[in-house]
Amino acid sequence: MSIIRLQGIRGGVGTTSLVAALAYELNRLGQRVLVVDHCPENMLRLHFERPFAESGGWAHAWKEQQDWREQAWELRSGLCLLPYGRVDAMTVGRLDHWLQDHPDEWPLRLAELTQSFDWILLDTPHHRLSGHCGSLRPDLDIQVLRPDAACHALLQGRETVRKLMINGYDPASRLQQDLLLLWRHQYGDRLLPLPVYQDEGMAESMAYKQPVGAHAVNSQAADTLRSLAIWCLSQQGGRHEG
Amino acid sequence: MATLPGTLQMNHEQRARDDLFLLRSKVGEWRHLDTSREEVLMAALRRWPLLAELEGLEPLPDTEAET
Amino acid sequence: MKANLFPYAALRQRGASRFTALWLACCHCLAWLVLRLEQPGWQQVRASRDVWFPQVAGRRPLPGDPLRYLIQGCWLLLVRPWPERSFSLTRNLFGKGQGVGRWLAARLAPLSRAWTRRIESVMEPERKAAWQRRISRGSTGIYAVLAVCALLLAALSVTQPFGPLAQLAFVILLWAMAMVVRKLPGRFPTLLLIVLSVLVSCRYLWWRYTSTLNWNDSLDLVLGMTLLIAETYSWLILILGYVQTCWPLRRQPTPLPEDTSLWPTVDLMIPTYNEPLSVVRTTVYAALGVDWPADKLNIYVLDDGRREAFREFAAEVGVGYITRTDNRHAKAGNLNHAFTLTDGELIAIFDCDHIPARTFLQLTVGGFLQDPKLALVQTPHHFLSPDPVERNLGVFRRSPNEGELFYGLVQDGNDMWNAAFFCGSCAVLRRTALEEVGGVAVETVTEDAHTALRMHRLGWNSAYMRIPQAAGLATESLSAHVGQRIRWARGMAQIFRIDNPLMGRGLTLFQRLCYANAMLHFLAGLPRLVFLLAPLAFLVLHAYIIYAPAALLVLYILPHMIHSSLTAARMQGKYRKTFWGEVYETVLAWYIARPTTVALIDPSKGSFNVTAKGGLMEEEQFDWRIARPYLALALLNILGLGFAVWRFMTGPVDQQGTVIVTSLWVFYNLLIIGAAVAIAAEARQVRQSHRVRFKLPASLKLASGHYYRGTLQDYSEGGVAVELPEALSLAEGTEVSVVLGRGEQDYSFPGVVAREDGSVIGIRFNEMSHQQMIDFVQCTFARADAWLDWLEQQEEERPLQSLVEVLRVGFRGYLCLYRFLPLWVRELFAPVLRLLRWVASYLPRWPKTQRFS
Repeated sequence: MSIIRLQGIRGGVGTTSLVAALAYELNRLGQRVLVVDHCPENMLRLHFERPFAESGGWAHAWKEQQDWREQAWELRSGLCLLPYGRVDAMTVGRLDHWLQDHPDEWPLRLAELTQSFDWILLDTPHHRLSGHCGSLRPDLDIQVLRPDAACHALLQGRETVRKLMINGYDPASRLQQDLLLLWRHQYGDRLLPLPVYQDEGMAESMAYKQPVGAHAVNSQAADTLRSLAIWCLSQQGGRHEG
Repeated sequence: MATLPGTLQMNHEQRARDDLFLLRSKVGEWRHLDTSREEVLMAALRRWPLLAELEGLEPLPDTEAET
Repeated sequence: MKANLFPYAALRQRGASRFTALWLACCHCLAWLVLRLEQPGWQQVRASRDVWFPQVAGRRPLPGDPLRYLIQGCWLLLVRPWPERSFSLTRNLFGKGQGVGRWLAARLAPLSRAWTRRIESVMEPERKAAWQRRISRGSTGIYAVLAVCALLLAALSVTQPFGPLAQLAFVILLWAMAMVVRKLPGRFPTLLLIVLSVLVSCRYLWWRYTSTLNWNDSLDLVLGMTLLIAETYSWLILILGYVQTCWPLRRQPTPLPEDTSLWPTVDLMIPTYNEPLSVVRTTVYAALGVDWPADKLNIYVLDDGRREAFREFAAEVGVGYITRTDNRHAKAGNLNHAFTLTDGELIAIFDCDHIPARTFLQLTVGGFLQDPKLALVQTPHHFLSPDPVERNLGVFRRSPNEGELFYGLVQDGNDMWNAAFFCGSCAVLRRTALEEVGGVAVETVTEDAHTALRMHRLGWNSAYMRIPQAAGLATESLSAHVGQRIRWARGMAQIFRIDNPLMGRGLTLFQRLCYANAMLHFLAGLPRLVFLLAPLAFLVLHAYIIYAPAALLVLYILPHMIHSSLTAARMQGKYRKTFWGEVYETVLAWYIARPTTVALIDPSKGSFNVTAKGGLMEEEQFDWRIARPYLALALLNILGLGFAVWRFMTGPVDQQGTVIVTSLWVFYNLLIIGAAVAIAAEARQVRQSHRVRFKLPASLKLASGHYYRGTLQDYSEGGVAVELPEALSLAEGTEVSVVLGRGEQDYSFPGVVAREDGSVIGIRFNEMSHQQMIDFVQCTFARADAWLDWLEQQEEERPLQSLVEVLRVGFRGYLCLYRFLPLWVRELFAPVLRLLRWVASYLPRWPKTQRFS
């Protein structure tokens, strides 16, 4: 089992849509995938045709003292979703404190699932809920960014080894071309092999409550994520051999 | 790789994005210096004052973005 | 069940008349009774009927169809084309004999590899020196004795007269040897094949000189001698060709030093005279993208047309623009004038329609740093559009053209002997070398070869890099194509006269031979005409031009032809199909015969003509002007056939064999002429700019913001075609952008939908800025791998198959001729043609190929 964590460098870079799309493509390649929503916004489920009114999820279960395992949905064969659940801001704060006090909680939870899934994808909030995004050691740690000046500034001085995934790239933009060129030069292998284009199909897919691969099969975004899913597989293969 | 779908697929006819890939496989000991890449990168850095500042470069006097 | 057994209704539906349907249904019924058509095997055959029986596919059923099925069925069972894609007649007919050959070949293969290695090691410079030392130390004697023995033996087998039986045994022995040797891998067996071929051909020529001339009749003697001289010329070209191409060098690029400050400065020159700006522009854009340090590369447009638009364009994109006041010595003068105004250490020259790839300089310049005496590096001229011959025959990219033999093999062979020469474009020259020979030669109309010859005379070296790094447009019309060849032929003949490579100082023996062959090659016009007319001398004039019994002639000439084509297939198989060379030569023969002869007599005569390119054929037409001599030749040969029939009926019995052999020759000539005529029928060309087929990932962006991943199918200067995973049904004129990537960068090009054909969308670009044009050219024409598929689509050579193909084209030539005849003539011939077509419809066909691919 491999864990992929996706986290936006800031809000609004499209992390949740990417998680949904990547999970969907991995599943289409015959992998057993679990997507876990760690964002209090609880949006990931909307990519998988769950009703907006539904309130279930692991955070909700924590508040109600229920079993988190019963909150998961099997969306299609081999693709499961564990939503965050609808909770108020107070509860989010308490939950974060509780998670900070129980750093082993999520590692233990995921360890239980080792046999059931090939991939676990975590949609992680960008803001500093350190309990929510702290204690896990993902196999593939990906930071999502947009090719704009703000992200470039935010990248400065952050010496990490996290992979960088570019979302919302417009090849007609001079600035974005230049940023991509610069990042390729500066970050090299840390950049994922392909940027995800600013594709209307991607935006529409959420409105259709589907991952982009299901809604717009032939779109560029779906194609890129298909390739990135294969790239993930190759990373996993490389790690196991190494 | 031939059975993989999408962008990573490479078949006999279709060329890779990297146009040196095939050439390298044909000629022996040879490397290519991408002189244009260096130039384009420098131009890109100087075009945008923020990028130039972050790289510690002086931007060009006319920093208008080309369209 | 009833419909299955008696498909009357189905046949009627497919358009059969009542009677035909009834008759076919009865036959069908009979077939069901006799054969077990319900079995899976038969079901499969029936399901793919259109594949196996192409002659009945997609048309209405006819009464003769049962017989067609029967013939095709038997033929399929005999030939069995399914396990392989292409068909080897010899293997089908002599399957077992080939088995023995292959067994022997497998046993001998290690030996041959060892020998090839050994020879290769001798060719290496250090080893060469070691060998020379060894030879000089004392084993000279042994080698000399061996060489003398071999020569004596060769002389014996060339000169020894044989009776028919002995000759038969001799040639069968040699043929068997050749058949075994040709299966062996490596270059050593090629050398063996050459030796065998030279032996057989020398023997043939010796025999022709010693025992086939009729000295008793002056007409016989004059005509016989004419033919014999023509044959001697062919023999000479054959032998020189062997020398030239026996060991192609396959030079690899020399890496440049890592420190770019050591790289030489380069002037990239683009001479132009009357070509439109649209042609020159692409070349300049590509030149601007060539990867070389910007401070060491200067690009110049040398405009002999002195056009204002060119000056403005050059200023806009920032390249140099050079003109002069007169146009003396055309291109050579233009270049020489530019040399005086520039100072780069190296000079790269591109004809204005040859688009360089971005890697061109880094692939070619390395050698100049390594070898201070290197004066020239030449790369192939590759054409992105079909030349008129290819276009009119419809064989573009399927059958190699003339250029592929020259740039694929001949230049590479020349390079082995340090005799690769300058071809006017796609080359890099050293300024000091050029200055030493006084600039580009102006005395002849092929200034390029002449310049290289002078450099070689002064001890400079040349190199040939067999990697296509530029591509251009081929000539448009047949007349322009012929005009270009006339110029080359005239120029080569001029050089042969005024600066003969066989004479003068400074050249090595092999350089002399290579240059001589290059020049003699263009004198092929007259001999070719002699071959086309020679059989008539016997049939019409009753001259014994080959004064020998027919059987003996066959025993001498057939081995000569078979061995030379076996050897050619082995050496040049990838670059030239056997017999096609004859077709190309025949097309030009008439036109180059006169100018070369004139140039040989008086080299200063003859004017310079510029090759016109980039035009457009408005409509399908028959170039009667070009075809006229060939029509005359065809008529003469047909007349000869008539005489042959008459001679066969009424002449003496002992001459019937000769008449048959001569008639076969006439037939062959007629078909070659037919192919030449087929070339004269110009195909229509409606494309504004030439589309280059090239598959590359590409994306399409719609105005709505949707992106689609697709595959680039082809591109031209003004647009592209992209195949998408689904049909989008975009209206014509819809605004879209195409995103192309090269290396790490993506470029977006805005345009409109020009046509939609299913999931393939044709896009015409909007007006683009200079920078966008440079980017586009860099993503397409100037990619490092843009032309690397050169020489790679060709299949393995099969002499018999290419003979069949030439014959088919020859036949098509006559059909073509018929199509362009006046209506009343066609009406006269219509019934005959219908009859022929009806008979032909029964002939077996090759199954449709998609089945195998």
